Amino acid sequence: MKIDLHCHTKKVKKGDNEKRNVSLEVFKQKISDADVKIVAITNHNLFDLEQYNIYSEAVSDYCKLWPGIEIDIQEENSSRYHLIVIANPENAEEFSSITKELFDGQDLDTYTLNCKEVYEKLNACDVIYIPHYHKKPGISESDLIKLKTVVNDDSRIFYEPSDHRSLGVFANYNYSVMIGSDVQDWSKYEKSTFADLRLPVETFSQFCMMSKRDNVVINTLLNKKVSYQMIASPHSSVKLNLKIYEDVNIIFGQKGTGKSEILNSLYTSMLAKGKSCEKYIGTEKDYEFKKVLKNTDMEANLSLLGLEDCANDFKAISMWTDTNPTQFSNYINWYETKDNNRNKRRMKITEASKLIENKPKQYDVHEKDKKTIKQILKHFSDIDISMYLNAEKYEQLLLLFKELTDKVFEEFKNDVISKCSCELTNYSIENIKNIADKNSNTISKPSSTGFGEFALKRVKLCKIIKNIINAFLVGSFNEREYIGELEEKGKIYINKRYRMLCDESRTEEFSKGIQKLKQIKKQLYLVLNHIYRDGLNDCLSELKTMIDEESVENLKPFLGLSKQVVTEDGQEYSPSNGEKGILLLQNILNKEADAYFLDEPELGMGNSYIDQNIRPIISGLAKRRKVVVIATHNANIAVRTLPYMTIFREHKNGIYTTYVGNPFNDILQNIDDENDYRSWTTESLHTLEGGEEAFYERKNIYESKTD
Amino acid sequence: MNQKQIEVLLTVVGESDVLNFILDQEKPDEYVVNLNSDTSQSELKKVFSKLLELIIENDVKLVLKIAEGYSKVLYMDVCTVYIDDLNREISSVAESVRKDVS
Repeated sequence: MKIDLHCHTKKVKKGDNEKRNVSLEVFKQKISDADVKIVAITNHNLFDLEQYNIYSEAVSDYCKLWPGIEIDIQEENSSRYHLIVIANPENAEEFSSITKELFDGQDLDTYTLNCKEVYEKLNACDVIYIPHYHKKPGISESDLIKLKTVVNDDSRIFYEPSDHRSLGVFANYNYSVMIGSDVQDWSKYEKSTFADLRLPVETFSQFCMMSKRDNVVINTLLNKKVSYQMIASPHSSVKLNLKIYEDVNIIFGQKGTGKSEILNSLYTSMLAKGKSCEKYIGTEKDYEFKKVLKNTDMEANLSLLGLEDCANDFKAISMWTDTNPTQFSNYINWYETKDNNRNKRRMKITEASKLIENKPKQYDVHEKDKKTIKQILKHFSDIDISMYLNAEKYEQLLLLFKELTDKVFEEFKNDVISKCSCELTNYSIENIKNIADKNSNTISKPSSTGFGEFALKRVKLCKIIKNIINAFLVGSFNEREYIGELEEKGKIYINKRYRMLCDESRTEEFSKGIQKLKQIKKQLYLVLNHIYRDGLNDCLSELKTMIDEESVENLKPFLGLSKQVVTEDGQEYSPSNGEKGILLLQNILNKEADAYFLDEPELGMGNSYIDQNIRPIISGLAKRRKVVVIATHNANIAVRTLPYMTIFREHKNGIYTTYVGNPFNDILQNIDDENDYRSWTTESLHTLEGGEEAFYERKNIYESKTD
Repeated sequence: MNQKQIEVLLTVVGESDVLNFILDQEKPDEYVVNLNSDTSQSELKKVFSKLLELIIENDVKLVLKIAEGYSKVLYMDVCTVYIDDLNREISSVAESVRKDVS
């Protein structure tokens, strides 16, 4: 929920930008565009009640306005600073009359007050105080002590830094920081950075109570999000009843306290509720990444490379037998017996030669087309053509289709007649010869030398082998799937590669042994080389044995399937261990699910990456009301996400204890003993930051850097 | 297409009647078919393989020659018919083979 507690609507002082003046219409539009839910009007040394009331009314459907003022404070022996004072809207009128009393008749460019005066006059209006802190003109440390002493309620003091950060109210470590637009130019208002309240307050009182960490208010606000009562098991004999929100839920604690087990059991429980879940385990990233690169989900689909499976070709190879030439002695026998019978001599048909049984040129094409037509006819009747074409066009289509069908069938019929008549002729001649021989004590002239059949069979084998071999020459097919992004490497993809067996192929691409497949491929080339040679039968016999032993029935076993990690330009890339974690985590967080379970996602990643890339995604999921459960040792994740639920596990003196709470009320309560509770801040500092002393020492070292 | 005439010599080698197909000028005795032996079929197969190779690039015609002094009429007549039949079959399949192999 965005809020802006430092907003100007008027140019008051000489140094103010003119563009701070804003009309009602522009104000309404800009507040709506920026989607800010609470705005405090804090002009310099001036509170305009009339403007406040009009503007409040105008945006009341989508935004609440709080009355405020920005005052120049000058303490004795100190430099000037700006202090924003914001009042409860219920006291707007009283606030207006007091500020009028304070500032009427004064030179607004130079008039200053001290904090005691401001407190004494305005505190009765139920106000909060926001000094500029490390922002010019900023409050000094001594003036801050003075202000705290005067106000005497730290929950009413916030700090406005100069850095633009996305903030949560009531951040840890005793600094309640608040940033506002401090708008200089209303035309750019919606581009300002606003504070982001984690808990959606509705009233000024609620805001103050939350600042005071009032449990009732905090729980009321927390319960605006859906939660689930779930059973978690850090151990098989232990059951914990935990509340898990549709927001960020953190599990932290020392090693060996069952955090991973709790996370896993919550994952299982969430699945049982029928929710879609994604899980990431930091310690398994190497194993998980290997799984991502496994090819088991890839199908050997030859059509991706534009190939047929050549099943018929492999079958033809298995069944191919060579043809032997007609024995020369058959010719001798014929010649020696041809004069044995005069009548036989007159049957010239017994000297006829065989017709070469070769299919007509287009036989295969016509046969295929006939099959296609049949399939079309079958599906044609499934469509209600009249839904798409009018009667006349429907009629035309039917006529054309009939004409096409008739022509294809006619062509194929002619081919079949040609082929069959040849076969029948040869069959008839053979039969006549056999009968004539039996009845005449002669041997008919051989119907052929055997060369025609020999040649055609060998050529057919050559075609079959070439068809298979040509498939190996087809280039690869690649499919890319986005997996994530790496700094300096850009977008990273998983490339699914489909390629036929080649010299660069690797064993893992194939389900059958790569050596055997290579041998078969080599043998194919050998057979091709011997098509016109004497040793063909030996080569072919060996090929048949190999194919049979490996149960190769088509080209599919030769299609290599593999996955690689590639960059945008297609270069193969080997991510480091940390980068694998980054990619896996990004992939999981980008998937759409109801719940996300992350176990030590920070492993192998730099803190800067976690804070700038992972934490915003987690916060984004929380805003979308996703359940996010994270077991972590990382402070940026455990603390800066401002989780709705924190589960702290402790192991002390042999006893495991579970505490639950949140940063808003700064409490972690023992789930088995309501009188046993800890400070959320203290435990976070101890477990995640190495202790309070270490943390503040680091803070001091960082802050000692000269700007 | 190259025209290639191939001489087929009917002669006697030792005591056997042989048909010598001069398919390779550098190896004139490579393709010999012993007409009296059981090996003639396998020898013919070797000849067929070489012929197949040749007809892809050439218009092949076999020409029967009778060796000087050869006198067996039976074999002369049979071989004449055989070579004629072989030429006819070569012509029938040549175009188809060239088309399929290209």
